[in-house]
Amino acid sequence: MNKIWLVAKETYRREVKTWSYLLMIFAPFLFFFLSFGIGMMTASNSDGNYIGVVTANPALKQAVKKSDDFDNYATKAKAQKAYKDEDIDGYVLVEQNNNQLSATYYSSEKMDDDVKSELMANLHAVQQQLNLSQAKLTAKQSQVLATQVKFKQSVKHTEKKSFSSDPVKQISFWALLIILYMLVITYTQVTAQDIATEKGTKMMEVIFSSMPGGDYFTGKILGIFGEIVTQVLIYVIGFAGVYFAAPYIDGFSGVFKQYKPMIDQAIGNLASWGLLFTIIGLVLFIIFAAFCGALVAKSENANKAVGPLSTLMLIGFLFTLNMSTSGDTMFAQVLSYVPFLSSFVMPARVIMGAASNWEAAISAVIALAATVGSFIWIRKIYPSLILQTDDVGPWQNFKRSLLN
Amino acid sequence: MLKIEHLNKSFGKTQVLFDVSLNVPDGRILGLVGKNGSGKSTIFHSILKFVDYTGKISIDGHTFSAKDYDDIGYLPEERSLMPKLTIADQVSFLASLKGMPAKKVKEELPDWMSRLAVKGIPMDKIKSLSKGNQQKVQMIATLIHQPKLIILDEPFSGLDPVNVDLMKQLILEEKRQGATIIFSDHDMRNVEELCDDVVMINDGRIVLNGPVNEIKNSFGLTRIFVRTDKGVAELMTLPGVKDVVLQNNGVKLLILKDEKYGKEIFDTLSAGQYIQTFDQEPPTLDEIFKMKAGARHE
Repeated sequence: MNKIWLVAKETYRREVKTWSYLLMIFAPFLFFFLSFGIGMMTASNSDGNYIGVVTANPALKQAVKKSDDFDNYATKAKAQKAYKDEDIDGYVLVEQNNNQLSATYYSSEKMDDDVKSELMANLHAVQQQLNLSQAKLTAKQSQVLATQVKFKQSVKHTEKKSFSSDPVKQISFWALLIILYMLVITYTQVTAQDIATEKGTKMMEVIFSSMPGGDYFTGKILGIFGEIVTQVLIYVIGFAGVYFAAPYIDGFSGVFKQYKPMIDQAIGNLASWGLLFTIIGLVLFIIFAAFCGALVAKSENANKAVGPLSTLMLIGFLFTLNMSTSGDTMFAQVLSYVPFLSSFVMPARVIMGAASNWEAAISAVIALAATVGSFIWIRKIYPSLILQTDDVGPWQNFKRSLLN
Repeated sequence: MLKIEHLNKSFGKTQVLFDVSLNVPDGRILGLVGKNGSGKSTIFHSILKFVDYTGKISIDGHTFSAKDYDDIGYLPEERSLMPKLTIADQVSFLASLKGMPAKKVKEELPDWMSRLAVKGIPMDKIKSLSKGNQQKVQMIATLIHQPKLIILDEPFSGLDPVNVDLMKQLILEEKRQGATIIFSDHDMRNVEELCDDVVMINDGRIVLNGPVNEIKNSFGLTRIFVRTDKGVAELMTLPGVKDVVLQNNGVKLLILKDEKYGKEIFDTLSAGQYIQTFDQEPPTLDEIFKMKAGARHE
């Protein structure tokens, strides 16, 4: 097997087997299922109870049967017992005198407005039928009275929705920012720590006696990239699972259906420029994290070495965060072409509708060129950096490596 | 044959190797000796292409190819392994980089551990081993893929005498199997004991290069170890004696101007009688090195 792939495989295997990696991957799932579980439990405790309806009217009984919020009870006594046993939150006694319905709600709390609206709609419909039958109208008269208002919507967008008034854009923006920030901060730390630890063990001479140091560097980057791909894939599969299962989950399907168009649009926003900039940005940050890790002689100094990179990342994050209120300033336009920062700023500008595809493409090419150029340069000096094991500080180490 | 021709190396403005040329014929052991910072490790690093250099380094008449690097076993001066890995994982990874299949490593590793008396099993973590055992595991990782060229940078440092002997036997065994070995050491006794050839390097320059016996003999049999009641002052009056050094075991070392005085001294000291110890030898490599290193500084 190609040695680069051997190194990539070993790097990948070593990391994904650690508890810290597994915890990092599955923590969001645990968090999700925990919140979902608590939500479901709360829901079952609060909203799970129905409201009993006691009525002799067959049409109303039929309507109640179809509802998620009501249950039919044959007698008032049975409804009272169910209420006492806390099987229902309350009960409605519907009586019919001289073709007029009257409903009385018995409970310790006021009826929820939405539930009340549903009940009243059903009662109105039944009352309407009673009224019509009592009026003894001809078929034509009934038809005339049954005529409904025709309502259509014709909405013409004269201008694009602004960022602040478009929830889809906002969801995409925040999702991109948080995903990118989490991935970058995690993997710059992981990379720098991994490289510095290896360097600290001083076994790199043995490895470099078997393969060129540049190839080893390539293998390391590929291995770490494999870790990222694994994490992203697990999340994509997890999200896809929730996405496709949601319509079938009781108590969740309604909310999901309501927001599905919005979610679809947000996915579309993220899967285009957002994805490309995330990948390029991540690789660029990882390459420099490896460089930073190779500058220190002891693994405990890895975090210190990666400090400037963390600062750069924080600048990108905070600046983009600020864009949600300040909008597309001239400064934002400039920074959206600067490698490292462009990964945060440009996709945010695209999502906000402030940058065209051409602008995004130019920025992507610049970021890609910077990534490739950095990779080639660091690949070249990497062996010298790694073999400088004297603890003389990052800057001296860097200078020495250039003399090799 | 490993051949180094006119090797020069500088770090910035500081030149550390000056026109170094040496050969290591197949199946022989070459000892590279010199003080700390004399350039021994830099020669190894040049062979392994860790650093850029001027000059030519070749193996069997051609410059090193990727395949040739697979046939090198290298033990660096600063030894360490990944503490969190198991012995099997560590050795397997390093051997796989040399092209040895993991399955073969798995088969052969227990035998190697037994040969080197490593306490533990292949699935033990490196961090659970003593320092000595970790060094042995690193030696296994160096040799398990049966390299043709073995480069050992101070292989005995940090080992107790029992393990030094074990390593020496291992090195000689590799030689018997046809490997070409080059190693550095501060202790000239190890070099005298193991090496066919020796290269002495001082301040980046080769000061001596050749077969150990030839080099020693070229300095003549100018050392006499003698057990006698005569005092130092009296011994200094003997013909051709430059210096007298008292040895730990009661033996006195006479350093001669020339080996030709040996017979005359023997006749004088024995006076036709039995003499318990009289041994005329060439100078040790240690002495030769001190002479040569000193000469360069004068």
